[in-house]
Amino acid sequence: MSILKTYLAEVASFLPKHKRDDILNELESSIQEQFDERSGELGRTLNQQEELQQLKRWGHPMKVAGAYLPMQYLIGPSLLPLFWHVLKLAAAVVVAIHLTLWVIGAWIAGDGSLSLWDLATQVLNTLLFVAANVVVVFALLEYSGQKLAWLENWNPSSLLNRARTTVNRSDMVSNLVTEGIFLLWWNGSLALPASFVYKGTEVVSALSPAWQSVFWPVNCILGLAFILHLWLLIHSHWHLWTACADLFLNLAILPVVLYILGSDPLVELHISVAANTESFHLSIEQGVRYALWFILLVILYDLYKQSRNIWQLRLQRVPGN
Amino acid sequence: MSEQEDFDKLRHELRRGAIVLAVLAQLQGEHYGYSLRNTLRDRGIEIDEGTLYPLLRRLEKQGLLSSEWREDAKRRKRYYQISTAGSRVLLPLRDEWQKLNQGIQNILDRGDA
Repeated sequence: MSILKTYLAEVASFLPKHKRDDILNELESSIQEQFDERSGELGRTLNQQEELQQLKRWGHPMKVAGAYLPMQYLIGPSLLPLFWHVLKLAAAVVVAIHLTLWVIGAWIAGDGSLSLWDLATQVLNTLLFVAANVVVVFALLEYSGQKLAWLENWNPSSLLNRARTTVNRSDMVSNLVTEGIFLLWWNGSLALPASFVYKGTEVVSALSPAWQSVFWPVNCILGLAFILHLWLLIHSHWHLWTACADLFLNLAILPVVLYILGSDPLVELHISVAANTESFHLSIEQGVRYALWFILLVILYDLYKQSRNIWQLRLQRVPGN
Repeated sequence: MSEQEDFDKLRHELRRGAIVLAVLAQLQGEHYGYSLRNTLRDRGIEIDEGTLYPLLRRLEKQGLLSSEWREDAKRRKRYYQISTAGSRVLLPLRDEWQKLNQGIQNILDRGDA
């Protein structure tokens, strides 16, 4: 096979089938013409080295093929700054979760249950997994943006009364990151450290069966909250309906948390050998309960904040205000 | 980024639109890719192959050019020519270019005065 044919075969491998023949025919004809012209200048047939020199001007086969394809982005320049922001925050949350669990584990075991190397490996694994999910979410946003042209359909009237209705971007990114990581963990896609060494015995903690009854309600509520917060992050502006939806989702999660708080036990422990882990169990149980109370307070605060927001949005709708 | 890289990037952006106009104008007469590139080069517009051929495809896809394969000197070549729609676009594009050129020239002549 000639050098030219080999080069064209390389280009062809990067082209879609339906475009391939037509593009290659034209390329072959043009490159051959170039060879002939150079050959005419030199007064002899080109040797292999000279042919390679000519092909170098055309460039890497992938680059040549790529120029024929439409410009495509996984995450385009408009979304890239937001993508980095979310990615950095997600990384910080992942590190914080792992460090907290590591400190708890070390405190229980007394002598450090996990080496720093193991901790770093766990953090890296979780980071990679979370980063992959962030990429998927943003790639979908990019795709939907291209299809629905929501950046182009931006309405400047959203600038009116902006001071009162602007979405706090940091709040929204924090919500998205925590909801995203929680949903991944809740659905078993993301494994967080759950085993501890207590008095020389390995103890694996797991949620009690009481949580199973709220599996779908939590998925539905947090899934909807995730979509809503993603929408708000892009549109950066509260409407009455988005504020009401947010309020409704906070109200919906409230009974779920109260139901779980009323259950006993919240955590189950699995141990490989018989050992007295009662006090350990109590500590874990109490820790989870405190965490739930904290979540409850956050929900109540959000409800208060959102009610005020809705009130302000309603005032804006009244003529004369 | 070095000064040279900055310049290359700006030069690339500056040339991008102008090249489309040059190609459309030159294709008021029929050309195949290679002859078009040579003609443009002889007239002072250098376009590398990797830019020219995909551009011809894009313009054809937009309906601004038409093309046909023909045998010439024992080689099959794809000949391009501006289409009716392309001719309609070329006129206002040429006016726009002249206005832009005039405006830039005025600014460059006056400098910061």
